[in-house]
Amino acid sequence: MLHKKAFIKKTRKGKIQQIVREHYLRDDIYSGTPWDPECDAGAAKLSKDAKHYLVADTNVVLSQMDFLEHAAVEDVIIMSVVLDEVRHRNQSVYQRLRSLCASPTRRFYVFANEHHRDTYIKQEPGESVNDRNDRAIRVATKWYMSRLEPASQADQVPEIILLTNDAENRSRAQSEGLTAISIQAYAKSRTECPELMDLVAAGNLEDEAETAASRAKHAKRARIYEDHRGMADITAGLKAGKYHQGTLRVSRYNPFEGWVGSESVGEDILISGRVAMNRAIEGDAVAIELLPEAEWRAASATLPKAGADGAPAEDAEGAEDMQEDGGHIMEVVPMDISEQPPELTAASKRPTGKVVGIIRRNWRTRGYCGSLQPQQRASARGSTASVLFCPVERRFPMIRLQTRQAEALADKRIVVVIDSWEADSHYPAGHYVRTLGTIGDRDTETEVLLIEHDINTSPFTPAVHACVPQLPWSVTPADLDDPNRQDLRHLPICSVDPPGCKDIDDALHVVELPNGNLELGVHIADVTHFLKPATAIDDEAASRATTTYLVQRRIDMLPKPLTEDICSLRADVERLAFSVVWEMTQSADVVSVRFTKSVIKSRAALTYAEAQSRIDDERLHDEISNSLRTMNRVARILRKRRADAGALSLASPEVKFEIDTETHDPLDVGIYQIREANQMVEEMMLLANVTVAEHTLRAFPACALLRRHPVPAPRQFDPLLRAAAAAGFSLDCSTSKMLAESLDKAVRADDAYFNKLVRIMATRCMTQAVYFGSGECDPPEYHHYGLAAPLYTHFTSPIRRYADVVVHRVLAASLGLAPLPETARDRDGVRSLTDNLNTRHHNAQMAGRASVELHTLIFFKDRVVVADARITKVRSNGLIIFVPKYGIEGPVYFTPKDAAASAKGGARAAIPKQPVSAAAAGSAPPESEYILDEEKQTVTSPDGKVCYTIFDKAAVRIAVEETHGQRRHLVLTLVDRNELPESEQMG
Amino acid sequence: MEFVSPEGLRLDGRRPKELRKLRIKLGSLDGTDGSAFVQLGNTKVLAAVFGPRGAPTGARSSAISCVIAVSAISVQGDRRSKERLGRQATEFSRALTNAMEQLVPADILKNACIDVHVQVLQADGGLFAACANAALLALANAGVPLRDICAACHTGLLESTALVDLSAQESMQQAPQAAILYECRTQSIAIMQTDNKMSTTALEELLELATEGCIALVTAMRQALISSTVQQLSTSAPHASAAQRRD
Amino acid sequence: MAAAEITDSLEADAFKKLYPDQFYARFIADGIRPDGRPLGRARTASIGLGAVSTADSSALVKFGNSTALAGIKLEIMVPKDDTPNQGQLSIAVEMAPMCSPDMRPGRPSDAAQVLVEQLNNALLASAKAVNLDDLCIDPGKAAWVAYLDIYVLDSDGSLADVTLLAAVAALATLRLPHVAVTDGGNVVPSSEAAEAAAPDEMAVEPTKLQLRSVPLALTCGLYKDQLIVGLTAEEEALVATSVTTIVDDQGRLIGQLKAGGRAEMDIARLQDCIEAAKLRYAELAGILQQAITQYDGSG
Repeated sequence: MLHKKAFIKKTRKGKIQQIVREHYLRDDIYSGTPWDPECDAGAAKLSKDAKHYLVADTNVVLSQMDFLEHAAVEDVIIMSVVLDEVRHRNQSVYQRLRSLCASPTRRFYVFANEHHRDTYIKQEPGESVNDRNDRAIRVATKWYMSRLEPASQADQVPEIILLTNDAENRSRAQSEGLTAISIQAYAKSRTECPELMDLVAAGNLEDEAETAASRAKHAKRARIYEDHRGMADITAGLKAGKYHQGTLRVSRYNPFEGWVGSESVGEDILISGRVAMNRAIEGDAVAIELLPEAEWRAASATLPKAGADGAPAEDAEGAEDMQEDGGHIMEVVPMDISEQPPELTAASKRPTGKVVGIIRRNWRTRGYCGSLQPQQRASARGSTASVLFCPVERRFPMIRLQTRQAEALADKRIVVVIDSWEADSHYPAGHYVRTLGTIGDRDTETEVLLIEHDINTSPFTPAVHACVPQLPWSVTPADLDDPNRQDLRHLPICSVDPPGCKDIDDALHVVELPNGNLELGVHIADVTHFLKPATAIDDEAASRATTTYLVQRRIDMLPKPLTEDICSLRADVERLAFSVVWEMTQSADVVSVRFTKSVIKSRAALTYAEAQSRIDDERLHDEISNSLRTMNRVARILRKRRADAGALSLASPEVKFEIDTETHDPLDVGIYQIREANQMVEEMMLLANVTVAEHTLRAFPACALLRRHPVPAPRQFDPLLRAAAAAGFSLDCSTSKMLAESLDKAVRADDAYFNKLVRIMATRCMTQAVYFGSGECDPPEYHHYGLAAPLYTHFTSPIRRYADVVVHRVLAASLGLAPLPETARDRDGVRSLTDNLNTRHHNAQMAGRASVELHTLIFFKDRVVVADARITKVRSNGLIIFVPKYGIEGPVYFTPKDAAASAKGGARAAIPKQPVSAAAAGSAPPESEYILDEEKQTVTSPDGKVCYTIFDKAAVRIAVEETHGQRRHLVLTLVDRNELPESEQMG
Repeated sequence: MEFVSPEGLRLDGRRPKELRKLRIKLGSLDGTDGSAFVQLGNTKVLAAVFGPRGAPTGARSSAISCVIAVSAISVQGDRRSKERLGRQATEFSRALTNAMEQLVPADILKNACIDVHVQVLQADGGLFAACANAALLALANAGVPLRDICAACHTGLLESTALVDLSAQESMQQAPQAAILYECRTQSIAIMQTDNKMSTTALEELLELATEGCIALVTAMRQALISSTVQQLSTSAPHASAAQRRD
Repeated sequence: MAAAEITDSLEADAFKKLYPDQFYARFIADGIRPDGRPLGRARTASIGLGAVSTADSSALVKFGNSTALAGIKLEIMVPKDDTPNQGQLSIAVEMAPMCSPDMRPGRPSDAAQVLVEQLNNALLASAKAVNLDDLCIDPGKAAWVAYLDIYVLDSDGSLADVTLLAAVAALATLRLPHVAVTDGGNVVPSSEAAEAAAPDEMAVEPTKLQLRSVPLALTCGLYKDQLIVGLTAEEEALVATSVTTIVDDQGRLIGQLKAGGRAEMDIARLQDCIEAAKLRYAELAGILQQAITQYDGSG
């Protein structure tokens, strides 16, 4: 064990503090090849039969991971100098590379060249670090060549190929007697596997012949975009106040319009048009320059249509632009209550800017899902074709890629990553990564939405499973003997959940005390008893952060045995819980509260419907039914109290599918029914959450994990206020209480659904609630606007939300049961924790909605339905229509030109020839313009015969149409309300 | 941080159970009764022994004393880090003094005292181990017999791998660490120092590894003592003849 | 034969211990010193550079057994109001407890104080070897403070000479890292500041601290009217008086210190000391130059 094989070299690190570290060089590092007589047979990971061994340089690893991950790429030597560089430059690529090297099924061998006596080199004076590292790779490659010894003359040892796209490095390597080729050239040589060519990342890495050709081509092509400014320029510009920085958010309705929230300007800056966006895409951190005020614009007041942006249409590329734009016309999408840039009237100009530089790209490493644009000219089979890829998420631009399998991929959903975006190219260049399946297939599309929302669906690792107790699990005597755990098995506890719920987080009880007061208990699954900090399972749960619910599938945060059995507070079994128990008067005034770990035994696991019928059925007088009734009475008082305090009753267009158990296809769809029992449980959970929030904040003023809902900025309500004014009612958004009251008054005698519609639209004006550490902002900002609560947190669903797990730990720490978790102690730790919780929470919600959207499409596949609808937006060329029953919202266009143009690219919607509006009748003259009145929120046909007003009732026919782009879309067509069956009328 | 790569190499290129390079030089300080220079990786310490000599006047708490001095230049970082290390050195000194009282036979200390001075020239990881080893070698160089053959070694548990002889970079981590002074014949631990929280199984693992490390160090230290004695014997003859010539 | 040798050497040792003056006088009369040197020759000097990597520069210097270890650590300070363009050189000397059997740890020694005075005088006051303006980073905002710590590890005479050479060698190999002062007043490596703009750029080599002059010292003693050059500790105890002479690379006299003693020294004797110091200077400067060249080459 002594250092007999070690030699010492000193390296200096040029910091203010000079650090000298030892660097041991060894001669016991194997080459990993069976051809090396000195290599230990057990260490030989590379194949004896390989034709060649590949050595990849750092840039190849950084840019060509998809290529390396392909199963056809084998016998790769990864030098440790490459690993080190990759780790410093891109952590996620590093993780991918490491898992490749660790995989027993792949032949990737790591050679620690930096610690081998014969391959370690020192940096020469005047040599840059990069040059030194390139040289180190070459020296190690050369060393490998010397290691391979044919056992007999007949043997052919593998050739060692250095893969590098750096021409200078290649020529140096060749002059040193090495074989060095570009990745393109290598992929091309692998004719037996044409797919490899597709995986090669595009960009500035083409080999010489192609570069020459493309240079010639580039010379002809006009520069489309301005060059990006360098980082030094940007820094100086930001400092001087000339530029502003922020993250670009692209409008979901218009791919060439986006907003950059800038702190320095104080409001969102509009970026309008492809040129102004200057190759920035959704999520990029950009530097922008404000345009002169004279050039400021307003957000577009029309629905986007074909040819909406000013791209040149002369050459072939231009023609494809037309297609792209058509493809980008908005589809019918389910109601979306995500954050959106505030809507603005045409009259109000906004600060407008253009992107001058990219501060940080936010290109996804996991890639973008989508499909190829149909080819106009069929390319020869197997030859490389340049095709456009259309992402499913409309915020992203189309991506140009080279593929040899265009034909085979035509009807497939594929994943593509972006490699680069040059100033003379309309589109970013990317490369193919993998195929997900056939377009329209439910499983494929579900996979798409999971990838799009970055949901981790990979199975839990063995290390995670190892943390889960064996089944069957039961409460142990040790748990019962724990002095900190109270035995509450005697209490009449029950749970109330949606039907089919297996992950039961919460259970309730209420009993009357001898003094006449009530004892109310909320019992939450004691997940942290099983989830210890700094274990594999805890790390995994923290990174997943939440369970994701899709229509037909649940992607768990915790492994199934914990989720459905060990933690789940099922009926008639003993389970561990974390209980909050109040003593309150009959009029629901809290006398005292205590928190305790407990053992409970639920008497019944009820559905909302069952609980409701027990409450309603006055003949039932069993223990559970009685306590449900008491609880309901308490809940009513609490609800009333909250409403008086100004809590908002918000609405979201939740729909519910009835799923065929065999085919998993949706059989029926409808509005999710909310019963009083739902509200009762919700009220109890709110009480528990608020109580825990107050307690933990008192115990740890700087370390509590809370949830706040920011007060919306008044301008966020502007569009709604405008619409309300036009519709003849008024909303007061000054406080949540005033808003709640004015929402209550927004009723229409002739439209029972009107109130809910207004509530849905009001909800959309607000930002989302977020998790935060109490150390992060001032106490007044802790406020939860929607609940009108000064403090709030999430405590009641630890099986499916990691935030609740953290809150459980903090609460346990406040009771002295456990130390405060490490992550809760430092501010940076809390910040990164809450950032992840918020992102994952949002993603899971979006994925859930996308799943609803997908199932809506499947549901309407063979149906044509006429449904009740409401107008939610008026535009000069069409309307946005909301269909309450199915929770979908989408456009209808006035003029056939727009409709036809949109049909060419994708969605189609048309105004019927017949008069449709209940408010006005008459056919629309095709050629002339409709008149939009922003003030009155109306749009009138040129002849004045047809007039649409916001909030009007309407009726639409919903159908699925398949376009030549192989996209399936819901198409909404206005029909006369007379066609609407009685049964379909809302309210 | 990845303290042991999947290839099994530590950041400095060593394997988990590999000691740093050890250099020993004995008797380099002429003005002392015995001295030893020990370099363990980048840790460099110099130890000198005065005595056994007649007890000086004035109160002494013990007949043998071992004092470790940390110089400002020996420490990575600013003067504050020196003070911190200085406090640790005081603690080491006390522990070493106690251990040596047991190791030096009582009859030697009956009417004499021994002073061991250790100067830290450069502090990297495993400072205590280097100081203890240097002090032991200096005592041997001064001809002071010891009851047992000893050595000291430092270990740590990083990313659940037990590593022997931590470098500064490794010992900066908030990970379980243990250093011991081990008596080879009695197979017992004379001094143990642990840092950071650890489970008992972790401690067992570290002690086992540290023991292994001590045994390896003892072998190397004994080798150094033998070769220095051989060298002394071979150079003493010419010295004597030179003195004769002057007369 | 072997037994006789040992007896002889034991007798010589005993004689030396009992009658040190007579012992020494018998040697001097022969024109030779007990360690075999002629009267006019100082001890062999050796310099080891960069011995302590935790210091920003370091030098281990030995004159015979006399050993001093000098190390410099750089820290950043805000310049004093009255000298906004200047950094600081702070010199400390410590007699390590092991340097002599008589040392007691923890007690500041007078000898160390004297040495600090001499070093301050040689490096800053008279010779101005270090120009403190060179330690400025950003006037009024930041400057280097160089802590020069010298440890006497073996005290065997001529400590002023050994410590000065060690100090000069450490200063001559000191490199000042390139740093920049940010708007917030923080000092960061300029490589870090530039990294955002051009990550591939080569690391800038730190600049060497330029010494404006290179002072070196020689301690001589007067024994029975004979000038003894380069004293050991033994000799320092026997000589009637001793004089430390500091000269610089131009041959100029930087300082001469006669530390009292039982005898006077006339001008001619002092002149002899200066001449001896110049001779010794050439020898030491050569060794220093060689050590620096070797050190720079090794990077």
